[in-house]
Amino acid sequence: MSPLPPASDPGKRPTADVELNLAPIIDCFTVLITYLLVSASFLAVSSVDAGIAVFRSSASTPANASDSVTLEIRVLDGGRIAFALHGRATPPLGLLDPLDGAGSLSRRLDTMLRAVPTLSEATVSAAPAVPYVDVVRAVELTKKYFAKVYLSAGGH
Amino acid sequence: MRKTFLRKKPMPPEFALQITSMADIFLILLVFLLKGYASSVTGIVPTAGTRLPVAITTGSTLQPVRDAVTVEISRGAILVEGKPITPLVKYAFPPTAPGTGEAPEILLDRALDRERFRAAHADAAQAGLRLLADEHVPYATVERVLARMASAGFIDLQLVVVRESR
Repeated sequence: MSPLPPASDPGKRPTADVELNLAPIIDCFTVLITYLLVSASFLAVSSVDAGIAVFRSSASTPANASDSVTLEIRVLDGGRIAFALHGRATPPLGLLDPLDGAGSLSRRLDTMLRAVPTLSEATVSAAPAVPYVDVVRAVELTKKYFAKVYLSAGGH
Repeated sequence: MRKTFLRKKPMPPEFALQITSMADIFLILLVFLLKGYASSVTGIVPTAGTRLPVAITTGSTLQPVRDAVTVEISRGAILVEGKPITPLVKYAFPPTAPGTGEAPEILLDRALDRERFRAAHADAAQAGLRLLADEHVPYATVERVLARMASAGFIDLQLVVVRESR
């Protein structure tokens, strides 16, 4: 800040010459902009919550097990999807007709929920060669209808 | 005697407090600290070449990524918390891990057990796992990794996806 000019007239109040120095502000913002550009993340990520299910053979499941019915959705090669219902169901449905593409998965899930209102959980599995992206898409679509969705970890 | 009590000498300019530089430094420090705090919550940085799957749904099916143990399946390796544990050959498990001669599952088990032990003594929110996998990884590889996760006691999973920007 520039010093006060000497008062030429003792009766006059000294005036202050206030100047705004923009150079440090520009330096500061240049550094900030550079740092923010370098550290910016251009990837918006989210997560889909799932659980891990380890399958057991149906022979080990007691006959008088809980009445809960679970749905298994199996993604096959070529984008086909097959369904199976496990649990106490009359009559046992087994493997249903495979559908082509995940686009009709929502419609089939909607139909199944109307047919079996007690469905509460679903397990998603896939053929060994199915890419992970197809499995994630099946999980995402299934999450719209079921609060709990599990990923199959095989029978290990 | 000098009459110093009548009139004070004006302070020389170099003694004035320069707060402009101090304000600049504090502003930059504040931005650094805010960015560091924001990035420490997620810390999602997939390795180069790993292409995460793009989400096809929106709304309640997608949740914010929470802090948890990170397992990444890339084309060439499986990483736990950023550290390579076992190599992969074109997304597939090799018969034995080169260098150690042990089965890759054993190496993965050890790494997951370590993280499980650490999570048990840390914040309970870190009890789950978040899975970052390349979209081309075959499900056979993912299934084997999931089996090791289940045997290590992890049952809650977050499948990390990329939100499509509109």
